Amino acid sequence: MPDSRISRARLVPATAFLKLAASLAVVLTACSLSWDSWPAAGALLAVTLAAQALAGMTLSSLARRLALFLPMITLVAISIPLSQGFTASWMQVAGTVILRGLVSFLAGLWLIRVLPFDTLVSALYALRLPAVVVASLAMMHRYLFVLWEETGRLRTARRARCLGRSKRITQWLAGISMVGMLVIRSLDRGHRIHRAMLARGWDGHIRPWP
Amino acid sequence: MHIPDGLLDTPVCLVTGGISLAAVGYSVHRLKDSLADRTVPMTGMVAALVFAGQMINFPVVAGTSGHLIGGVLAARLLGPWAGCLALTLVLFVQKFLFNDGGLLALGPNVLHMAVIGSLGGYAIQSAVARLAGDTIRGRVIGVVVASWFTVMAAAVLFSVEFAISQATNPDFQLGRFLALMMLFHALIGIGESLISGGVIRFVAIRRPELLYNPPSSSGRPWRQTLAAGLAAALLVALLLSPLASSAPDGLEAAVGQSELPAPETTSLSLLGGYDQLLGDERWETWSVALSGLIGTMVVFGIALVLGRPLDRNPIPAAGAPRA
Amino acid sequence: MTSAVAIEIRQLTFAYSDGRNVLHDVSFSVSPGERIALLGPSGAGKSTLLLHLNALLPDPPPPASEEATACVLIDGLPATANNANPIRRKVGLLFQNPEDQLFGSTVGRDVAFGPLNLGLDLDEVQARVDQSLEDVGLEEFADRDTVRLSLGERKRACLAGVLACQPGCLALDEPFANLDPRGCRRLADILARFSGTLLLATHDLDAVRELADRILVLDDGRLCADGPTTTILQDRQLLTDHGLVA
Repeated sequence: MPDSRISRARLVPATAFLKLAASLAVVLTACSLSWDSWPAAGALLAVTLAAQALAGMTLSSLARRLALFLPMITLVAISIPLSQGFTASWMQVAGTVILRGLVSFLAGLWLIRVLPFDTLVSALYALRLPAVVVASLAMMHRYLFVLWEETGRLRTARRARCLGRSKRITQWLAGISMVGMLVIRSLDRGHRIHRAMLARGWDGHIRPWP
Repeated sequence: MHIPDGLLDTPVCLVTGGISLAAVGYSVHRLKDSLADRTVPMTGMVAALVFAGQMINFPVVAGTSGHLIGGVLAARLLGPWAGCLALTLVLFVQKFLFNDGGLLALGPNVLHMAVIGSLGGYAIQSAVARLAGDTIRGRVIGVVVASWFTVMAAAVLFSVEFAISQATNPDFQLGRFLALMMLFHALIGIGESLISGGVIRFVAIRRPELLYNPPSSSGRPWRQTLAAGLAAALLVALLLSPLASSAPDGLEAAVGQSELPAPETTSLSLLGGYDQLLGDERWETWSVALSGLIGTMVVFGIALVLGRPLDRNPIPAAGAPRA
Repeated sequence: MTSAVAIEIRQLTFAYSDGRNVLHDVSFSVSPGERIALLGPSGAGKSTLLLHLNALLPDPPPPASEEATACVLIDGLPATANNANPIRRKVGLLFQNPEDQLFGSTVGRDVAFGPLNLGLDLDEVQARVDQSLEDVGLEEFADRDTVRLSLGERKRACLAGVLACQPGCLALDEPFANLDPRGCRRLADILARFSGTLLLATHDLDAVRELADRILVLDDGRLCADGPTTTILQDRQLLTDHGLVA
């Protein structure tokens, strides 16, 4: 099957590109905002919030995510006046950072709701993302959940073995051995998958399947 | 430690994004040289494992906890090119599946974690490992040293990027910002050294054949690798400097006309910032010096402790994995 | 459907890099279309043997210059590096853990992997995917995420992926392990319909009785017995000695 740009593009809906472009446009606009342009900022914020509703995000779900994001961005923003002094101008800079970060966060939230991961990757492939990157991404995505679960199990097992609160150094050693086990198991699994791929004729040449 | 959108100016994000794209693109290109059929499963798996590994908490102080970044770890397991790609995939998935991190900020994030972290990390650790003897012990020490240095390098680069973003602000004092960043990241770097070094030691004791062995045919002497790394770092500085300097100087003339708007005030060129550093309040110089001292001593200490009971024997050849 | 495959193993000895000797001087022949069960306790070397049938061990496979001394011959082809791909086309290997073999994002995508590597055009690939999914009873599963499958479904999806390559021989490593009775029944029915050579490594004596004409007993890396199913399964002493019955 000839691997032409036309055949790549035909397999991805045009809406995928539009969504990507829209998200990027919002982020670019947000990042060009300054403290003085707060009406524009407010409008942008309203747009992104409305987009959440359109994408079917519930208020509680949104609140939960914001509850995780806002403290983080605030901490990052506060580090600026922390080093430069708590003057009005630096607080404004910090405020701008929070505003921009928030809009970008909401834009990203919208994008991942309306554009499924597989479609996004297909869209990027149509934009000439190399096949080896796409294939590695697909492999990573396939086993992400498996490894996540395995990590969870390792943590539970460790917690079950720990009697009472352990000292920090014990927790570090435990964490290191958990990551170490994860490394060994994952690499072994990677080798087994590689073998399974070879068994079905894999030679390193990626052949796309729509 | 992801940089969110809005912290760095768009031109800075775009330039760093361009550098990242070039570096990752080159890594992908180099992956075609090596065993092409292993790349997809191994890179995908290590990317997934770095992602999962970043979830394991290491308690620090009063409820806060740190976690592994994994750039140097990935490079030690997969080599420089696949390691760089793996970290890029991690950042990509974090952004587009979990909305973690900025969109434009992918540029600097990839530069710091994948390019400096993995590519730079590999260069440093292979140089150190060769100095310490090409043994398992040498490799663990290499990982420890490389982890700290890549974290510090990323911190310095971030400070520069931030300084450029604040170029229109005459009140910005790079010295103070740099001092704060370096002190903070010196501590983070210690964590990364401990974790990465500890994990590699754990793996090397049980399954030494799992560590990456550069193909003997590549034969590039480590001095060349180090020189290439330094050249790359200089190139990054060169590309960023037109954004920083307003007055045309030798550097800018060398690069050519910059199309980006020149900042209004006499802002900070890369070298100018360091003048400020020395002239300003005492605590900044002490912070930087302290972070350097902490880093050197602790990294040495960690390297010694983790490297001690290990084999001084050379690396065993990679054998067939168990059925 | 490629014609049934003949296998010849000649004095196969194999040790892992850590020195562990896993196979000692194993020799046997398989005629095209024969249905053989490979019995043996855990650690006997069954998986290792099966990997040899796909030139996956030794890793890397011996160079073409060592053809004359090759221990594994598939349809007369010595298992050397240059013959790796044709051999892998002839012998379809089903691995013990379906999680390792089902690496596509959806079932359809995974099953298409083999045919795509064969260089077939997209229509032919689609036809093979449809046929294989039908053969294993997973017609509706083409777009299902591989993460969301039960063990039985996973095993059948893996089998579909192997069948899509239309091999002349199926070599299966513990296919019935951890399957519930219904799953075992389904799998056994599918295997009964396969017309090529069958090599089944298993502990499940019921499946052996139903599917195999001949049994090879492997213990501690050595071939201890080779005979018709009925004869071997009646030899209580033999079965006990090699840990095949309690």
